Amino acid sequence: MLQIKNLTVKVFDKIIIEDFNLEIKEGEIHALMGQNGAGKSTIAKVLMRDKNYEVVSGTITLNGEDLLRMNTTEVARNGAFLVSQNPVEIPGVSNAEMLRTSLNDQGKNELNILEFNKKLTRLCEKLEIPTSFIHRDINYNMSGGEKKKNELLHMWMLTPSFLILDEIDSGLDVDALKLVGNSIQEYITNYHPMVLIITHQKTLLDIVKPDRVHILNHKQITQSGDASLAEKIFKEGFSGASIIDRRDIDA
Amino acid sequence: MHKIKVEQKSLNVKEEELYITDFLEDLELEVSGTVYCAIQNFHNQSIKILLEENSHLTIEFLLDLENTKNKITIENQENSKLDMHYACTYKGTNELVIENVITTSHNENKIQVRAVENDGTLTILATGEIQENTKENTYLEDIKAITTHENSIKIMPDLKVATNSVLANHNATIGPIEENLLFYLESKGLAKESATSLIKEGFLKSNLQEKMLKFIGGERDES
Repeated sequence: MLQIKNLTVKVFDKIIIEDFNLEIKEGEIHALMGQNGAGKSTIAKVLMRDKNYEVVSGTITLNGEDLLRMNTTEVARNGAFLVSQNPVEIPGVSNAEMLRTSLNDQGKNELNILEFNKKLTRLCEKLEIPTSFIHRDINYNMSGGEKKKNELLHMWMLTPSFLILDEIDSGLDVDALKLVGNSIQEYITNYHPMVLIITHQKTLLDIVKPDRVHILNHKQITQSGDASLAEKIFKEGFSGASIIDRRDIDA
Repeated sequence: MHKIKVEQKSLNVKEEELYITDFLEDLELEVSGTVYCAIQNFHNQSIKILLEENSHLTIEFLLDLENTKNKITIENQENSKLDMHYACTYKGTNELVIENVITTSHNENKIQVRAVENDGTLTILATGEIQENTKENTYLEDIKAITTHENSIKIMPDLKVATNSVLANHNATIGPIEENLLFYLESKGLAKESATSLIKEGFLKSNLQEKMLKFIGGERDES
């Protein structure tokens, strides 16, 4: 379970998030929505313990452990996995090298090299990416869609228990979006992770149905509800939906 | 893969792929046609590269420097081409001198250096001179280094251009490992040490061709 209580975050001396609260139970899917610049990605970065984001006050616990006492590696080893809007490119470091190193570092590499490559090959086919991706440099010279599929390749290999998907749907064409959405849904069905989806788009939430939807506005969550809140946002926009009283939604 | 240990002072190569594991003395490499050359060991020595007319040399180095002084001199005859990829780690006190005086026309020289500090210092003196009465030459020099402190590397570019008919460029970038790359790998569960080591290796490898990596990999497996 993830519990964020009264979280205040600043970046370069500017408060971005203030008195933010969120709770995600085992196996739940939550969507975080909000206008550009509302601070949605800040939440993702804070959860992964990016050093550029300073927690001023509040607490975060992940499966009962104090997340704010962990570094990025420890958060990842506690099951968190972030796909950011624009994953970085790492020249000279292949997907296979990174994945083997990660699994080895965590003592989770139970496959020999042949089995490992076979698994990657099967996943590439499933994600409709060439098997050459296995030995390609991480995200290097890949299109936006290829980068997102590449990140899913990592997800399937590392089997995280908490997905943080920060606008994974941005820059994807219709077919790629369906494939990415279906792959995430299949992963959820197989592994039942906690999921935090940060998105602006309807299509992903049509495929991966959220249990709860939250609106981030003025540095904190101003409204929460079920999937129908997302529908309302898509129809009326944030300004239209903001007139709805939070208690009505929760009821 | 044709691996050789060079024992003579000069070598004439034509339309070949060469994998040099060692050379015993300073070496003069005379190139005609299209040649690929990979060099693994290069310690306190010099290489003089003579590019004959219409030749094209791709030369790659992957070195662990330790208290080493290297010198590479390049001479071009008309219409020749050089792609040089020099990748190294450095420990102790090291010096690399690259000299390229261009006296002919229609040449294209690209020199890329990638260096990773491994507790030491490296001084790079890169001299490029494009003399007058030459035309349509290209001279590109690109040096990048990953360091933990600024003083560990000194790059001294010395680019002299005496003609208007040339494209000449020098670029140098020095800095620590990019934080966002470390964050990315750590967010995949890698320990900081593993992430650092992968990024440094990748930085060097990305400057080299696949065949160089196979050569080096094979050498390491055999040793």
